[in-house]
Amino acid sequence: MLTEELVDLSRLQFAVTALYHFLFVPLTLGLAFILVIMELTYVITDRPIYKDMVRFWGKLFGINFALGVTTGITMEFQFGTNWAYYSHYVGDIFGAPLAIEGLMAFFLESTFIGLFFFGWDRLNKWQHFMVTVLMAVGSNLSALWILIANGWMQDPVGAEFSFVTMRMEMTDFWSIVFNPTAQAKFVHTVSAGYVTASLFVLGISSWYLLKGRDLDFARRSFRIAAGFGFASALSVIVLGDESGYTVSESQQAKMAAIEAMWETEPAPAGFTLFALPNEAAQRNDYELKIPYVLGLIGTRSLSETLPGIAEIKERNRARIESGIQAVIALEKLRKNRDDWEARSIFDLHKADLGFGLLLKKYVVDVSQATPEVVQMAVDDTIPKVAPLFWSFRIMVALGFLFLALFTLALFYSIKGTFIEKKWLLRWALWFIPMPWIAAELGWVVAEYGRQPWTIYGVLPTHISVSNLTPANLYGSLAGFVGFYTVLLLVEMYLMTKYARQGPSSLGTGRYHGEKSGGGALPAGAPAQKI
Amino acid sequence: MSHPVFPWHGACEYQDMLLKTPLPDFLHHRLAREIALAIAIKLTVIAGIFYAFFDGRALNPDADSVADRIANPQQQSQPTAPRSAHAD
Repeated sequence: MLTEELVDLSRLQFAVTALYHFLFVPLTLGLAFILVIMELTYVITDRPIYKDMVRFWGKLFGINFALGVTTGITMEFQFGTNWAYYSHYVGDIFGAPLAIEGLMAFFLESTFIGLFFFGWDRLNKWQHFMVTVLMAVGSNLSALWILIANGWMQDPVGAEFSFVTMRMEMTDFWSIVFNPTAQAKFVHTVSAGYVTASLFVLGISSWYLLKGRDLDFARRSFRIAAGFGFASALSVIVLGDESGYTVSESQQAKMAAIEAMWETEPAPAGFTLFALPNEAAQRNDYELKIPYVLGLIGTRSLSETLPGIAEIKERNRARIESGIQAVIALEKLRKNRDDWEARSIFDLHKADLGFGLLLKKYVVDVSQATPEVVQMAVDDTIPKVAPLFWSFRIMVALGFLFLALFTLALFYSIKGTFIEKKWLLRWALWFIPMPWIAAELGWVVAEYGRQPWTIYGVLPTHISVSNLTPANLYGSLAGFVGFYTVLLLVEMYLMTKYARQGPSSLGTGRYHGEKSGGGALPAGAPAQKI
Repeated sequence: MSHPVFPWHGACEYQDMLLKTPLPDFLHHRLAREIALAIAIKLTVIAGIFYAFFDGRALNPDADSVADRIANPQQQSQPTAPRSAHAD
């Protein structure tokens, strides 16, 4: 039997593998472009220290890539194994960007990563620089196609349901590619990756500076990370605002849940800075609001209203009632494709088919749905408020803290006094894990907030899942959690090992602890302006 | 004429020959060998987990089975793809 447990386990398995995969992705996305900046500086100035920077940070990039690559494949397999009905229903559309990603972006990225590591002695410096650029472009193109696929799950444009094939069919490829939801998600996500990598470089460089070792190397790395990180942190906030705007247009239930906005407020609505959402009473027990801000962010106007949860529920009730007609007509059409009366009813209500399917969680025959059952389906259309409310706020707060950190890092870099600011260096060091936390919370907001749908407004999650047994899922879940934990421990061990070694791991003889000591500076050497 | 010092000398020669077998250029680099090995291990483990828990159980739905699922999501549908010998 298809049980709630089966649906929850399938969701948990996908969430675990996706969140794990995304531990590697942001660093790859961002570090690739930091390597481009460092290598461009090398080819322009011809100073070996910049080549050493590319090779050292490239080594950490390589460890991250080697351990992260293939972890995304698990999710693609899961679409077939755990989400077979989903794959049939939307595979013609969802599969296309995934295939393009594999053929175009991933192969590009992987090929040039190989050349990046093994081409130092075979390519001249401009050729190698172009390899690094193409590696960075490939990794970001990879993210683009994945987020086009994900953006379509959030806002399914350019497609139509066919009752003959029982699947969604593509009507406009370019509207899927240029889906505003997908584009906003792409730029926001890659910017988050740039912040992650910048803070990674900034934090490790700060550690060298605090230890008083490899000062020249660390100062230059710190400055590049501070400049790139400042631009990225600013971008991630601005583009996150744009992403929020697309959510307020295409996923109003998600927006209302993020804001714990139970009732529609007069325009422009206030932004809830802090609240204790009470799901049972459908209100906030305590809240602190900033007037006008949400209305401005969500609608870009002073006069448009954003609907609250109660209003959205009433709209969804009407869509569920319309969807009942679509489901009944669809079942008739499956029995007799020439039933023209059913066809005309179906065409009239097919936009609400997904809402009618929400009832299938509770009743086999939707025409027999009681008002209580309809109410349960209506309640299902709103994701749980508290997890979204808090995940979003922690993510946003971290985003502003990143901006503050990078602003100060850039300011003191320009002044040339950042080495004296031990508090800033410690802040950068201890903040290294924070961009990962922010990015994972961002995915929680995006995907948990999509519930109860796999394809927003089109396909409910409980229809999408394969018929497996809980034993299949517990076993495979345990396998993935165990294996991925081992990989994560190996990644952390290798990263820590090579970060501690620093540029001396290159064996050039110029850095901390190396015998020849060419350019190595003693611990505690005075700070110098570069 | 030289004689083998140890009885396994012949085997050593065979191993030397294997080591001299031309490898793809990139595998002469230690880092490349480690990355290739890491990827191979990961793919094997991931494929193994899928094989162990999903082989023969994954559906390959057609239009009719999707219609059946929509008509009655609580009903267990039968796989349309033949089950493998492993699953049996």
